[in-house]
Amino acid sequence: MATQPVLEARGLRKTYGELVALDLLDLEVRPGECVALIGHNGSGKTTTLRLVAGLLEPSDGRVTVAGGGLEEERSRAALSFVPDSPLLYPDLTVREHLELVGLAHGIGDDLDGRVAKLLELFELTSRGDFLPGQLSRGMRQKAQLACALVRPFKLLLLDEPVVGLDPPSQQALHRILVAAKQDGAAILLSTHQLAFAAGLADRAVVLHDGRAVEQGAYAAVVGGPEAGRLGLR
Amino acid sequence: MTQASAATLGFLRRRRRAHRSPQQRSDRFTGLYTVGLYTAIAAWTGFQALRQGPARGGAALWLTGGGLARVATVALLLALLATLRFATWQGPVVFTAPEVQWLLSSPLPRAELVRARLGRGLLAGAAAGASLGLAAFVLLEAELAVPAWPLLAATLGGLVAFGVLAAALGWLVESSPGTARVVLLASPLVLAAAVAAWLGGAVAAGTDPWSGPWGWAAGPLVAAAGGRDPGWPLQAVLLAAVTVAAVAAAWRTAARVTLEELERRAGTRAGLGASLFMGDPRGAALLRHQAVRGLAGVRRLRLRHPRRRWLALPWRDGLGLLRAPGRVGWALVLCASGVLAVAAAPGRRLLAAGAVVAAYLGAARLVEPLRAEADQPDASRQLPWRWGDLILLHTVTPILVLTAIGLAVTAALALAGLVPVTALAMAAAACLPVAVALVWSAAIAGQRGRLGLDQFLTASTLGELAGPIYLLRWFATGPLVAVAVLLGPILVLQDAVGSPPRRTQAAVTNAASLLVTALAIQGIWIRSRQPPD
Repeated sequence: MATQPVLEARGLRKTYGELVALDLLDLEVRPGECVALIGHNGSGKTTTLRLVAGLLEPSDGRVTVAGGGLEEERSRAALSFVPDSPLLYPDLTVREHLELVGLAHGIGDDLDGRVAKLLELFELTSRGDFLPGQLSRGMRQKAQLACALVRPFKLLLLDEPVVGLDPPSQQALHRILVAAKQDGAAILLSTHQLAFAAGLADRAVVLHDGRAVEQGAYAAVVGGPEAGRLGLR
Repeated sequence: MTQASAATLGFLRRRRRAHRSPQQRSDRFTGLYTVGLYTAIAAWTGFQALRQGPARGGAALWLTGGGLARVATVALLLALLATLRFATWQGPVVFTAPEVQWLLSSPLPRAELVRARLGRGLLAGAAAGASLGLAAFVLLEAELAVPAWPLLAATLGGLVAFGVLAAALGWLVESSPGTARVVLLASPLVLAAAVAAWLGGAVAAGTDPWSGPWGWAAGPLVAAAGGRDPGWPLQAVLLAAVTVAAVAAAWRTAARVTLEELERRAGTRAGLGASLFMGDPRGAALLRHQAVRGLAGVRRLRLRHPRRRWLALPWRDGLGLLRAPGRVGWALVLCASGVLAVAAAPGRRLLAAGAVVAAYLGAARLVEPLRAEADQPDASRQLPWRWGDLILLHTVTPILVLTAIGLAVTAALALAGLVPVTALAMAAAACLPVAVALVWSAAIAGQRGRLGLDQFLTASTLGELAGPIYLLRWFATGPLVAVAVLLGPILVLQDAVGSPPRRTQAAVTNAASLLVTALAIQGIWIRSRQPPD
């Protein structure tokens, strides 16, 4: 692809004292492309996503999003991050969460329509006026995904997005992400659910003990020797 | 108790005892012995000191002339309210999570298991009453020197019965979500009525048969202390009767509580224990809030979202306050008391510092959404602002609300004649900058996040003296910043009270300069902050 990558990470490294959580990772994600991070628990998937989201400071290396460093506001505005556990404000309803995020990103006139559409897509319309404390974990996860999608973004970071989701919601999310890709969004996805990643990811990176042990086209990597050796298939 | 229940509880007790080492048993005995010994020494020393004090006479006259009846009645009413509110989220019967999971879900009669725990709860109520009764006896005996045995019988008997009654009523609240909801909603109104009655002088100097269990418990005490209360025998009988009835009702309804309710309370207790062990009062307060949120019902209030981007957070904070209007009420009470104190005694510096702290606590009640942001800084990743800007935007709504409160209080004081007309315009103009100073002080404290292991580790490395000071500073950051920002201008103005107009004008200019400089420093500091780890 000739287009410039939306995400570019070079020599990314994160250590905690003597523990090396991530070691010299190089990564690129281009517009309209989805890259899946796969690996065991503790292999460095979440650390990678949090470094790219700017929630962790790298011990070494540099992350560039939409052509700028994470200290630049336009780079931060270009990425949307969904962490692995739902983080919602206890005193705002689901609808208000979506309105807040949309409004903060400057969506003025079309906000109500976008919110209604996302609530419908995630089957949350009847729960739109519920507080997070009144929802199941799966529904909170859906609300969090809807928050990430209500705003414009160039790069979507998803950490285990289907944990807690029922099969219809997983399918709905799959369709939404495919559509987002077609609209030119770049997606970096961490998951253990290879069935979910199969129709979505173009490339995959296998992480093991903080190192990228294999990367390339998704089908080739998942069918490759490292994924087999690590029992990831 | 059935044989199966007795056998199971006996087995549990034996196993637990077996796991307790002789050292642990010895430590427990030493702890109880030490507490008992020091309590007895403190009681005896206090008794002697009060008895030999020179203040006897005036205080005794006040106590027997109706003061004791008023104080005891209101104090017991407040204690009962506190117990009932506590029972809305914990209460006298709280199991541990493993007990709920393995003991209560087994095919043993739940009523028997609950009654065993309820008995302990009632005993704890009696013990709390006995402690209070003994303390009251020591104080009153030292002050009044009345015949000891009747006073001891009245204080102990009355307060032990009252403690048992409170525990039994607590169980009735705990076992019925409907009753708990009523307590939660009605108790602020009862409290407000009690305060209004106290301030209005409507609390009777004596107690009557219709004065409620709090009055019935106080009646015999007042009579034994030499006050006038001819109806005390009837009150004692009424208190005993209502206590027996409440205990019987609690015993009968032991099976009424649901496993879901007990599991919820067990979870809260476990979290509460962890928060208190970690010295995290914020975590404990959030747990309590979360535990009663379902009971109070959700206010389905909507506030139409604005269209401008920069209004997103003020709108979100406005929603937060609409859903918790009690925060505005507390802010009003705390700020008004601070302003009232300064207006009533304008020359007293210590009082002014206290007033700043009270007003700060009021402002801190309004910045809850900001504190929620600091509790989970990752959640703000969906918002496009830098942390410092985010915090500043979160202060817009609290500043506006606090300014409105300040203007309302100023107007009320002017109407009451406590603010001279000449100073009215200046007082009104000061509301906004003072509100900014208070809210930004609360924001500086609120953006630190929760007290965690990091702070304790730092404190432990600083030594026996500097460590506690470090933790104290951590807790008191907000009030200290508020006092540092506002006390200077207040002292400058206090010095100029009663001075010629030219000097007063210079003092106002100096105070304004000090305040503006401090606000600029506060604003720059907040804007430079990074999210807590």
